[in-house]
Amino acid sequence: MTSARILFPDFRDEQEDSRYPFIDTASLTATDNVTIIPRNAFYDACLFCINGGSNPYISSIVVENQLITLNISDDENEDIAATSFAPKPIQAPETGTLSLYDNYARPAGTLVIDRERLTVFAGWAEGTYTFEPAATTFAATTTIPAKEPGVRGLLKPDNTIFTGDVLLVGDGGVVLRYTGVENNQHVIQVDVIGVPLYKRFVCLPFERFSAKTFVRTINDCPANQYGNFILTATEFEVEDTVIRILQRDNTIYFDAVGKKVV
Amino acid sequence: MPRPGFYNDNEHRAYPFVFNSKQASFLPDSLVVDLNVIMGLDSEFDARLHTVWLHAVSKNGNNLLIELRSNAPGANEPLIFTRDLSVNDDWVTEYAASNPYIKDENSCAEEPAWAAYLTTGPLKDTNELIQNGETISPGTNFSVEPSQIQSLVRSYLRGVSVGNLSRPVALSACETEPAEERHVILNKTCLKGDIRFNEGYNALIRQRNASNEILITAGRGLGNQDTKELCEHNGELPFYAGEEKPILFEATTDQPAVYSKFFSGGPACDELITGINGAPGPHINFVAGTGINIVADPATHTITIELSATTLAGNC
Repeated sequence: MTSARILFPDFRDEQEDSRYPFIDTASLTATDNVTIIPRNAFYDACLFCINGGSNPYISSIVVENQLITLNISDDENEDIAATSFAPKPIQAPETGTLSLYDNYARPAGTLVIDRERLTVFAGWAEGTYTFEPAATTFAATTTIPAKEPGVRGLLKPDNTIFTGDVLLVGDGGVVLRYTGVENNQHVIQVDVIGVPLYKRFVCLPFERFSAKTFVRTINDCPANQYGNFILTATEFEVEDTVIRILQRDNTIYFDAVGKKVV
Repeated sequence: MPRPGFYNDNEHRAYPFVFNSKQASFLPDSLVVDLNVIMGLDSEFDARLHTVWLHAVSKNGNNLLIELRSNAPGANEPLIFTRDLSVNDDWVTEYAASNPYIKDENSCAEEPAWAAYLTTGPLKDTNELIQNGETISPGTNFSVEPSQIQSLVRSYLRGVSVGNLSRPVALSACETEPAEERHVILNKTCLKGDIRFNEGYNALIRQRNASNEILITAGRGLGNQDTKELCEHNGELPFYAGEEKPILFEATTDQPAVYSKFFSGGPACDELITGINGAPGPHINFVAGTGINIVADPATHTITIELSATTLAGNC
């Protein structure tokens, strides 16, 4: 007796018994030649790893007590993306997807899964199961190349990545200025000039610049170009006055000269 | 027996939507035979939380409108695809894109928040199902297969803006708190395309191709800048064209306002009294000699110097 054939099986039903989303020749067998990924564990995949190479594949599955991690590699990159889920009980999303992320936590793709069938991984002994590229190569239709030239992001030394719209801010004596377009390039000029008050701002934040009341004028008269203020009894070189003003050792003497009337 | 094609298959199954037993009560499978969705940089799409679904199909005269929606926060504008029912074409592919998602005033978005390619199959069944002016809303029963959604979230650097944090400014004599918190002063926003860093005053910029690094460092005299601009501003640089220097003393009825020579405020050295009659201080004593009285009043910060009539009069 032959079984009835469904002419138009639903997409996921159709893929259930096929190796898809892996290529037809994928053995799905780990390098230990024992462990096999079930054909029906994955329905579909969509991979868009930034700067990814060709022939992406599942390079390893790491089984730990509380976490199962699937690592994706390709011809050019080792472990370019990964996804993980808790095995006991299975805590894969109800959306039936495992989201792949790259090393900078950027979205790198989606594995469409059957939550129930992922339990097979929970049955594997703890350890790392590696796969040859040919064993788990994804079909080309699942891969969207993402190798466009251009800046993908800015990295800090701690590997924090900035994407999208980035604001570069000068501070602490570094001034950033846009100076226009030269040779079809936008030019940002970096000047390092220091800020007179910055050190004090950092070190004495509670006394920031409550102004010192420097003496700038006396009776509206400023100092000369050397900062020196001249006190005179009258105009210079006028001798017919009794007032004398002398300076010696940071002391200014005020005298009245003349004879006493006795 | 010839095999049916991919689109033939899809005319008779839920794909590109996830199968749901309620779908048949709303719309025929043949309506949509292929679909690809691109969630843009600003869509905030997270495959663990968000999805895309066929929200509504409506007929307006000869036009069939197919509406896709998403629950991603940045992709809340629906995508509308339009088919001309008077043209009996199978497998027509159309591209639809939303407007940019402008999250805030700092956004450099110009590209769609999200977009999709949608291919329809034969529309005869759908045309017969929907009356003119009618809209069928199947809720979220037509959820797009997750593998048909590409996310560009965090995938590239779109634009660079340039600015400086407002400088620490000296307060005037009577102020105890700065007028405002420090903030970013932008001098150019949303640079796109090729960008070059230029060495300014005391700056050295090196590119390391091997490690994909740009090294920006400082050193006295580095950079090939004419010092003219720097000296014109007493060792500082304006953060934007027309930046004014702070006021040292407000204008009075007798004299105009006095401005600092510095963008960071405060007096210049040559504006201060640093000595009297050549005595440099910091402490200067006034001493009364013969015939002089000096009276200091710390309360009013006043020193009164006067002739002493007593001494001049010979103690009479």
